[in-house]
This record gives sequence, C-alpha cells and structure tokens, in this order.
Amino acid sequence: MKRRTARVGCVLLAVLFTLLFASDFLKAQRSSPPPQPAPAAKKALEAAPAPSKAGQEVGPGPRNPKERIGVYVFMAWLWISIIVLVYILRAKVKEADRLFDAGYFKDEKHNHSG
Amino acid sequence: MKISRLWAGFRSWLDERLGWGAVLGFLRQKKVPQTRHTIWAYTGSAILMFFIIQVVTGIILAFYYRPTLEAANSSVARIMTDIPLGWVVRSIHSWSATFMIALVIVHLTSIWILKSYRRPREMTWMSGVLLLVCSLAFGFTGYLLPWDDLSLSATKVGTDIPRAIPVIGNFFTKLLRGGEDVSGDTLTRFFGFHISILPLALLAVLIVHIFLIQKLGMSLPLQEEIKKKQVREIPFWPNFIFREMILWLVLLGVLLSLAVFLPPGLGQAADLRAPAPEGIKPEWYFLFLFQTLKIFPAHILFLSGETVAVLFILAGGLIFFFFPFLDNKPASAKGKVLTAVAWLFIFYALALSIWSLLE
Repeated sequence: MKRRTARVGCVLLAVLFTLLFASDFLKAQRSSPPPQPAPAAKKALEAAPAPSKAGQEVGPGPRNPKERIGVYVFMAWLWISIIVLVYILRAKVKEADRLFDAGYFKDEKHNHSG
Repeated sequence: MKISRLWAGFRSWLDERLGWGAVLGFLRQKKVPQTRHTIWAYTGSAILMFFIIQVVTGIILAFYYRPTLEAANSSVARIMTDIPLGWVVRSIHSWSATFMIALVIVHLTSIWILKSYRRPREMTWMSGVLLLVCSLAFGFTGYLLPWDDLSLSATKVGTDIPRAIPVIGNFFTKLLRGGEDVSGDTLTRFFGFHISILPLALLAVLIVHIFLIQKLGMSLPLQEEIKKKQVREIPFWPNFIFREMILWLVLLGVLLSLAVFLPPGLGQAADLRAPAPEGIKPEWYFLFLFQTLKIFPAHILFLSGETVAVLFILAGGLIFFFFPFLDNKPASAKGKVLTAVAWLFIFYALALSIWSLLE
C-alpha cells in the first residue's frame, strides 16, 4: 500500500514538474516581444550585445531577459527535483539493502520484482 | 491498483519480447564488492553518463555547425545568439567534455593507485588508457571547431609538436593538418575526426572495456586482498545502481549549473595570416605536457630539446599503457615503490599545470 502510494506520488510529482517546466519555458521562449516592454527590460535589451557578425567576439549567456529568467527558473526547479529524487533514491537504497540483508534476492521467485 | 496492474502487464509484455527478466536476473546475480574504495567505482558510470550527454548535445550542435573556413566561427556565433537555448547546449557540451576527461583521469588514477590493473585485468587497464587517449583526442579536435584566434593558434602549436619525432614526425603533422599548415582542410579533417572517427573508435573500445568489466568483475582493493578478508558484496541491481543514480543526479545538477552560470565565450574569427596572440595555452588537461615541452633546454647533446621532450612524453605514454606488464606481481603484493611513482607523477602533473596557469 505504502509503495503504491509512493509510486503514484512520484508520477504525480513528475507530471507536475513537467507541466511547470513546460509552462516556464514556453513563456520564456515566446519570440514575440511584449507590445510595450517595461523600462528595465528595455534597458537590459539595449545593453545586450547585438547579434553576432563574423569577426566579432560573442559574449556568453542568454541574449534576452526573458530567456535568462526562464533558464534561472528552470535551474531552481531542477535543483528542487534533484533534492526530491535524491531523497527518494536514498530511501530506495535503504530498502534494497534491507531486502538484500534479509535474503530476499536469494529467492529466485522474486527475480522479476523491482 | 490499476496503475500497478498496468505496470505489471507492460513489464510482462516487455519481458516476453526482450527477455527483460533474464537481464534483470543477471544484473541481480552480479555482485559488487562494497568497501571504502567503492566510491572510485562510481566514476566509471558517471563517465558513461557524460559521454551520452556529449553525444546528444553534439548531435544538436552538428545540426547548425558548418565546418568551413568562412562559416565555422559565424555558425558557432549563430548557435550562441540566434538558436533558442543554443548557448546552453554548447555550454553543456563544453562542460561535459571537461567533466568526462576529469573523471576519466580520476578513474584511471584510482585504478593505478589501487593496483586494480594487475592480473587478470591487464586488458581492462589498456582499454581504459585507450579511452583516455580517445577522450583527449576529442578535446583536441573539438577545440579547433569554433575557429577563433585562440583555437587556431593552439592547434598550430599542438599539431606542430609531432614534427619533433624523428622520421615519421613530418608525415604525422601533415596527416593531422591535411597539408603543410593549419587551414580549412584541417578544420574539415578535425570535424570529421570529432564526429565520426573518434566516436566510432571510442564506442568500439568502450564495448571491449565494459565486456571485460562484466567478465572479470570489479577488483578488490589491495588492503582487502592482503588481509584475505571476506568483503561485503551487494547486488549490482538494484543496490549499486540506486547508489550510482544519486551520483548521476548530483553531477547532472552541477553540470547544468556550471553550463548556465559559466558558459564559454567565442573569440573573433581566426585569421590565418594574423600573428599568434600572446599567452596561448592549451586546455587544462594538456597543460602539464605543454609545460614539460617548455622546460626542456633548446639542445641536449646532439638532439634538439623538443625532440627529446616529445620522445620522453611518448615513452612515458607507452610505459603507462603497458604498466600492468611492468608490475606483474600477484594481486596481493604491495608494490610500495610503484605507488610512490604514481603519487610522484600526480604531483608532477599538478605542479606543472599550476606553473603553466600562473605563467
């Protein structure tokens, strides 16, 4: 029962994260600029280096603030999901070690269980 | 209830067609010794993860990259500016190359110090050294592809080094460059090596390497061999794989963070007629070799210093490759002198790399 709840929880979390990633990225990647950008965003856009031409140095990093924010939001979600997954995996390691010490894997009947 | 039934049904469907259960059974039968040195064993799968990332990001970059004299630099600039998230993909490709080479070096060094190359694992070691050579060749050929001032100059210096080898040196330099000098042909040639010859070579050696590891299993650390103590062993699946997954996730997070916050830039398009810029340095993994070439005097007896240095490096490489045959003692023999040699080499490589960076 507990395992099933954990599995359903994991699937729901994965779906939730995927939807959130997708919405963040879709927002960030929309190519059309807003009709009237905020003064701060306009300033940042002007400050960003012009598209490259041959023979010019190209600075690294995102070109516009929307992409930058999108990437940083993605990074935040990424680390949150890594922490959650590491927590789940640590629990799985403990469970697998307990089952191994109890001799569960010696039984051939259980070879297909995950 | 329904989900678990669906899942079980899907698994039995897969099992019927792919023999999935037999693979899982094999992986469960496979045991991994668990000691305080097991941490070094995790680096192997992490290298594989970075290699897969390299392949995926490399394919994406290859969609937009054009390996010609006129278009190489501007196509990389286009990837970084016009293609959505192109800069991240390039940055991940660059950083994962660094991670992969660093981990290959750490993996090989740990095996060297733990003496895991001894009988019957000589061929596993040799295939590992070949994988290191392939990884370094990936780094060397990939460095030229952005075709900026720095990459051109570094490639000129790098491809000029084999000239110092007597008899075959000139031929080898011409073979690398596709002519007397670095030109558009060199770029095309390096691109060909980078995306077709090297991946195939690496894949072939990797298959042999993984097969040997499966066949011979992981070695026991020296201390355990000497003590002849019973070591705790855990199943590869799921106990060991779950542990590895934790490392993969953390490394993936670090890789993406570095790729986002410290992406590589792109210099001005290379000019073949322009003089070399000041302070050319190769990538970090070649620094100690570069510095070794610099510290040799201009002439040693009747030979040029560069020739002696290159021959010295080649001899070192050969000794490294055939090391298991030089140290062919039983697995439980200590070999303190060879351990000292390994540590001395690590210290030498680190010291010269730092010296080169500070210059």
